[in-house]
Amino acid sequence: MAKFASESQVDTDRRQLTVRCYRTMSRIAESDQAIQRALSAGELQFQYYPVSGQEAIPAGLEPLLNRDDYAVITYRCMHDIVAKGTPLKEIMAEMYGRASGTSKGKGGPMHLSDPNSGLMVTTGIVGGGLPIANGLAWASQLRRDGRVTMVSFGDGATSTGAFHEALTLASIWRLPVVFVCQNNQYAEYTSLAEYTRLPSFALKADGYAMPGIRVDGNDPLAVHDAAQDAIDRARRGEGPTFLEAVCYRLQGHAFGSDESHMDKLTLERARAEAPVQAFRRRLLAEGLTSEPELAAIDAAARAEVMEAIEFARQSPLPGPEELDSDVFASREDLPGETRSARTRQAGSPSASRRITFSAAVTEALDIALARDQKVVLFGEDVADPAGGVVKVTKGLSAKYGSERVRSTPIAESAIVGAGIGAALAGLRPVAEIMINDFLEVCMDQVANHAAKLRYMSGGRTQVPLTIRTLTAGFVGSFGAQHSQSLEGWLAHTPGLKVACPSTPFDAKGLLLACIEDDDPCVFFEPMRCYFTPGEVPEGYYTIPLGEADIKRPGSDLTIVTYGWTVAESLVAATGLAREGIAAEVLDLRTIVPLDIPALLESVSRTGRALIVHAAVEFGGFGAELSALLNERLHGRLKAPVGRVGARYTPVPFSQGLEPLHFPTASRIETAARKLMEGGRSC
Amino acid sequence: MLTLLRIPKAAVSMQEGTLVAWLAIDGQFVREGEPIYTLELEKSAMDVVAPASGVLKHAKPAGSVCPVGEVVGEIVGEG
Ligand SMILES: Cc1ncc(C[n+]2csc(CCOP(=O)(O)OP(=O)(O)O)c2C)c(N)n1
Ligand SMILES: [Mg+2]
Repeated sequence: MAKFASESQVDTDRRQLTVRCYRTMSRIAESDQAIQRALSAGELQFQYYPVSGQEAIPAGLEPLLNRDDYAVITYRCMHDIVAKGTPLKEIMAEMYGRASGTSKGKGGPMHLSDPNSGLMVTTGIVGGGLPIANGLAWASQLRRDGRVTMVSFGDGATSTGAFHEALTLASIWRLPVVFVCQNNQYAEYTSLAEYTRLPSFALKADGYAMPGIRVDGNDPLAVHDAAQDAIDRARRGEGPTFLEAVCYRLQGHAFGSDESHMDKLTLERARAEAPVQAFRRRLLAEGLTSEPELAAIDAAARAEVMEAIEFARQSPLPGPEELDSDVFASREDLPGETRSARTRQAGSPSASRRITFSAAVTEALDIALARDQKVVLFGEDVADPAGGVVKVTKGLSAKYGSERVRSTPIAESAIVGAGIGAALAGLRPVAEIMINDFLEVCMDQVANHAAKLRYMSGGRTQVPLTIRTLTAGFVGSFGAQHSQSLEGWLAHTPGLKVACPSTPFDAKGLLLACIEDDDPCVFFEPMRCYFTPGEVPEGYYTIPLGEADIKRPGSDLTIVTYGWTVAESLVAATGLAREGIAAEVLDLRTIVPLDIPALLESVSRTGRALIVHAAVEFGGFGAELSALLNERLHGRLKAPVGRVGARYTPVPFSQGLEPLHFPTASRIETAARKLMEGGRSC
Repeated sequence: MLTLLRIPKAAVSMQEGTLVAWLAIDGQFVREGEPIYTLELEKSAMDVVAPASGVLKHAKPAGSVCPVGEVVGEIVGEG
């Protein structure tokens, strides 16, 4: 008897699950079609990536994921979003670009996010979401909160480097992630057979020592059952799973796209077996439900979607004040904004002593880890016994544990992505990218994701991530790929803060400020200054980002600089003083936010400006500074603004050449002298 | 309910298209999802489907070259 009762309970549960899956599929299909109707009628005009053929995948996952489980998805998103539980009104309003949308209309159809339902990132970059999912999962692992992160992506994404890096890290860290590959058999206009010889992507999982499961993505129950195991494993702390759900894209890549690359017969057959209709027929055939019940589900879905579309149509567009809100946590950090006076946070700095730049960085990290459990530190070789390639993180993993101070594989995109995800989840991650030239291999994570997620989410998510990185120029040993100064690239990407300290004191205070800041900060550590000692107070203090510092006062000209060229400029200023030229050295300390008031104050007082940086002069950040000074101070300048940057060459290795490439004290002096003579600096 | 038929933006680069043929005649009742006209782009063509059910009214003749967003007809629904 008991057995019979439990069996019928199983049947009831299965029936409920089945109907639940169907309801989700119906809501997805109605939403997808409604947007395509609006596109057909020319009411909406944007690139839309239809989801027909893929409805069953998120429908099977939906019953397994809690509201607070994290999701990271792609531009082909309608199915995943609807299933994750975002209200349809907010989805539609976002697609219509309205203020009432998930992201106030600032993200649009490719970038919806809804942290309320755990939907943290929707990315338009193929493969870009996977490394971020790791970070969200890492936060869950550290907090032992039992959450799972589901990241969905297309078959095409399996070719990207980000995919490889993400699976590598998820595997070794045993992260609670389920990688869901929605294999719709096309990457844009290229079919599977044209870009892979693998018969199944699930085989790839072997290469990462994680289970790889291939499942029929047209069947929500099959997806559900396979995902159940994966999600359970993740929740038990047994690590990630790769789930390949095979389906078929039932139309061209985007709305209106040409379908000539798709085999007509296959497409026709697939359409005849379209998952929503096929599942509907199956439910009826198996007697699990009745036509009226299904019709009622469809009608309710349609009514809900129509109401959501009407809501979107009636909603206002975002007002102009929205344009530059959510770039940073505070508008004050935008270039050109009037900054209110900031006060140095005293903390309780006790006795000051002379320590090196490198020791000051270590001290800041130590203090940050001690003060805030949310701070985590990671990067290549950062854990003990190595303690970092230049020993900056030495002793920290021993002190704070290998969970919070963690070495990573050589996978920069995975490192930054993990930092982004952890930051989205509320941690204060500090990632190390060993040398700033390596930022070039993970610029997608830095510039497309870290920088833009706050804005694309309409301020609903934020990325309080700090990336520490060395600039190793002019130390005589590294050559072209380890010696650049790439801060200008970053400054050109709205949403990133860029700190370039020059002294041990500034390094410690600015690094602590970066870690506490709610925006992503890139913190450049010049190796040329690394072993130079300076006065540094013990204990905690911060230096506000966006506050320049006069390193040497003067009245004849202002040398505007930051990073290691501050020291060169001070040497030059000493030399100039001997000739009776009083050069002021203004250290910007951060180039974003930029202390424009300090810059204008100093240069309007001296009447001359010489901009100095280690980065290539042509197209460098100095050009921005020069333009700004000309725009604001034209007529008050006694000479044209001068610049001394690195020469337009890759950094040469030979000691015969490297000093010719970089701005040296003598080049700065010469330029300053020319400026004083009233002519051009160079 | 009235649904305007504007030339859709069917490709990122699309500025205009040619309404090469009406697939449903003026005054005909059309159902949502049925093809109603053929739109020719630079290198391809698509059948635009009815975004709503109702009586179709042509506003532009076949052969018209129209910019994206131009109204080429309307569907007058029952509701
Ligand atoms: C890094 C990157 N490269 C190229 C593109 C252009 N692009 C958009 S979608 C797409 C195809 C991706 O295919 P797949 O991963 O299978 O996802 P699907 O579109 O089939 O869902 C490409 C190449 C992009 N968005 N990002
Ligand atoms: Mg695909």
